[in-house]
Amino acid sequence: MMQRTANILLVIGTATAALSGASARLPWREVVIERGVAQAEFLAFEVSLGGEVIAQKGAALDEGLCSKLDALGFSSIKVRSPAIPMELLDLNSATGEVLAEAVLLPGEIEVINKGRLIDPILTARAAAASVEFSTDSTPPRLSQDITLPAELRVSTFLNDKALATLAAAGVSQVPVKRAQPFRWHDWPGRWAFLLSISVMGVAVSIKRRALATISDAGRNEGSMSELKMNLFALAAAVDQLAEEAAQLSAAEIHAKLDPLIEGPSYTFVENRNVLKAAAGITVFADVMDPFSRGERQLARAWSASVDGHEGEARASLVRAVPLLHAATDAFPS
Amino acid sequence: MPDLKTSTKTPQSTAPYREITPEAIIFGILIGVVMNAAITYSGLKIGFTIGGSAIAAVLGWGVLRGILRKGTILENNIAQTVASSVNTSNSGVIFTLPVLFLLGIEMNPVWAIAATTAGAILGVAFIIPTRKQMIEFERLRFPTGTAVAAVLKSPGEGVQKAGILLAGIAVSMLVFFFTQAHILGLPTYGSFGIPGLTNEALDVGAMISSIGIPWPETFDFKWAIAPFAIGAGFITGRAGLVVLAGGILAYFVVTPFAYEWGWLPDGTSASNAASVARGAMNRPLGIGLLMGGAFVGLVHAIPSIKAAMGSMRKKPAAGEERDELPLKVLGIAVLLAFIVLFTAARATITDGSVGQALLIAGVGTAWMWFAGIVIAQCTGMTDWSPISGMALLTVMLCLLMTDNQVLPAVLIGAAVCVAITECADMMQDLKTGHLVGASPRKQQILELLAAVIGPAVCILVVTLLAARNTQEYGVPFGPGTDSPAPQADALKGVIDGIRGGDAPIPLFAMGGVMGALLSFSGLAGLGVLVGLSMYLPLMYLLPYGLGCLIQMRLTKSKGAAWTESMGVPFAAGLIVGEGLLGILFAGIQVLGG
Repeated sequence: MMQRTANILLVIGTATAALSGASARLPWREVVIERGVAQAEFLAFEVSLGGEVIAQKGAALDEGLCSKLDALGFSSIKVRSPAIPMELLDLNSATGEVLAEAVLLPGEIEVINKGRLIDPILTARAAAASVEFSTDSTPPRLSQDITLPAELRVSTFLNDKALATLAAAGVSQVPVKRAQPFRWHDWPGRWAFLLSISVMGVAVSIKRRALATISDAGRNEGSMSELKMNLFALAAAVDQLAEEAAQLSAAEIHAKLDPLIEGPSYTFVENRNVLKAAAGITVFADVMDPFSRGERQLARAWSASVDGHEGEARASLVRAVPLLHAATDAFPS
Repeated sequence: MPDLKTSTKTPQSTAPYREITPEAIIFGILIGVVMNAAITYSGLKIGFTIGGSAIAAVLGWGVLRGILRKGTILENNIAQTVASSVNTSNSGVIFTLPVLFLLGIEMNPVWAIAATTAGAILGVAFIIPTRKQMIEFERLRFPTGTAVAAVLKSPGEGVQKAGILLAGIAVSMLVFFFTQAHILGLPTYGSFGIPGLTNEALDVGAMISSIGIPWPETFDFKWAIAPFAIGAGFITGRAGLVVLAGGILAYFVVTPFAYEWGWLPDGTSASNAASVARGAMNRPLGIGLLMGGAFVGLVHAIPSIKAAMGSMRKKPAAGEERDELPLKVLGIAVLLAFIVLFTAARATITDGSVGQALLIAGVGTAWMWFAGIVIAQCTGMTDWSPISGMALLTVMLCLLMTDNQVLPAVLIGAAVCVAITECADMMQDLKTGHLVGASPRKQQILELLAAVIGPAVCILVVTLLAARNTQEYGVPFGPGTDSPAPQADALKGVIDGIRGGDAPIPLFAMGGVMGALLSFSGLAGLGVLVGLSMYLPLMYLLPYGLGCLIQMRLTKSKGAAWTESMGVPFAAGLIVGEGLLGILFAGIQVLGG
């Protein structure tokens, strides 16, 4: 019951935390409108009432529009975030900024080679420059070289080299990106996020308590004795096989190894966590370290027997014996 | 019981048992170089890469046993270890370095090779001490490692199991073939005229809509035609099912609500809401969850790691071989690699101080250790490795430390990405080795030596391809060329965002808190798995989850032993078949130009 409650809480908490977290990246934010007070913001959506368009998307929130919206009963409105996605800057103050749009370099040209794949950006550039081109292939590629006005691409980082290029081309102002810095106090989703995280926290604490109870239950003698039985049975069987191996062919060793690997060895590995829960990580490591090395020697014996190398198969079995005994010795009594 | 007379033809031998041999090493290097070049080329075209272990293991049987008539299971294991070590660096390189070409930043290939080679060495050296904890104590599944072991062991598994493995390979190849048959001029799924069926995926939502039943467009319900994902899910079993839960959260909760409540940029249509929400919200939250979950997981694992390290320090008994490379050797490798990384950072920072180079090389190296463990955990639990997510975080960190200098940030990012791919590959190979009884130390030595070859090969391919594209199209990579480099293009978007002051840092932080709490719940890796699934495209999570469900159903009806002995070889076949065909198609693309 406790586990189920915790699971439900954890699912609800995680889902609402993810949703509220996602709201930190909204392309808009809500601002309060005051009659006659202009704000340096722009509408994120078109505003319409009863089919009549009150204001277009992108309209500036000036005094007139604020008064109009206030009169219509709007107390708040969704505006673009960031308000200004780009800003025009003088070249000498644009160091370290990023171009928000491609900038043409007047007087300079760029030759686009024949064979270039035709994509929407190239099509738009050619259209803007009234340059026509032809294609005769699939996917479409230029069938001849074309010449377009040179440009610095959108998102170009304005380092010294880029600025020098722009200056040489006579460009004096550039459009640069303006991001909206994240402010915790301005984020309306913060309370929902904190609440969701708290729900997750409660669920986690219930789950941990429930798991501790299960770990206690894992200490029952039945599971441990089964685990011990598997390990000791494996060690004894490998002892015997290592002794008999001198008289066995590779194929016979292989045939005897399969049931050991798929039987007690596999079962021990599958149930190993009972030991961790019951005896703690140190004892678990003391058992699993030699067991795993012994298990690997069994796998090596298996591989060698399949390859027809009975000498290596026998040697690997002999190496496995003390390792598996070390594991049985370390197993808590 | 297996019938040895029919399952192996190797005569009984008294010669020394073959493990490390010149043939295995030479074969591994050659096949690794060829795979690396082919996968680098195709990865720049399609945006993702293919693992090489399974392919090398299958080819190993053909060459070492078939042609040279002397390969053993362990010798073939060494061949695949070397081949995958040489091959694996390609994803680390192609997800990062082409961004420099896209941004028009000149890169000296020597420093790129130096940094990524240092990364490869650091990755292998850092992950070795965790082998015992992840493979022997935690028993992570490493589905590809398990699949490769199934291939290596197939000669001794008897006719029935070998037949099941081959059936899995055949089914996988048949299903996957029609996704890329256009390369051979043959029809693909997309040309079959079935509503909702494209070359790569089956859009169940579109299919349902086509028969008149309404399906909300925001509910993305595409299933990738990816048999490997079903196979990996099957081998992972119940533990992987959480991945579905995270996918449902991202794609069926966050996305539809974000769309309905107008949280997505204006102009986003219902049909592309999933992809927009993934980029803007789910991916950053997922990366945060992953990191927060992994951090708490690491803190929880400290006692286990301590115990594993303790046994590493124990002196082996007389005549017994050490399991691991000694810590002293690993320490020297780390130091030498760090010096190379620092030198590369120093050479590429403009007007930077020694302190700044030391800072990014130091933080990069520490980050490699942590990210390597995260990636190895993810790969061990699910077979997925969020390399591009790690690239993004690394580059972001390095940009912050270098005043937005892209060249050193990307170089360190590339080194970290190569390091973490080597971490994942080393652990997959060691898992295979454990299952076939190989010496971990021998695998580690060869992985460490072979890892230095891979970065140079893929950087050479990237450089040559960039030169050819520039000559032919006027641009090295990106839209408009035959090599769009989609992952690097996505990284470019992130770099632009960071330089424009728009990095999703708050979402990383919130995801981090959520991931930490989930991993603190006592369910191992919960935060990592949920984060990983929010980060990955849903179309791959669905077949993966289906694989988990099939395994659970079969375990219930037929028992765990049956599922392990019959189901796992088939699932291994699904992974191997797709890999084999993938490399074949990549090879055809390279030859066809």
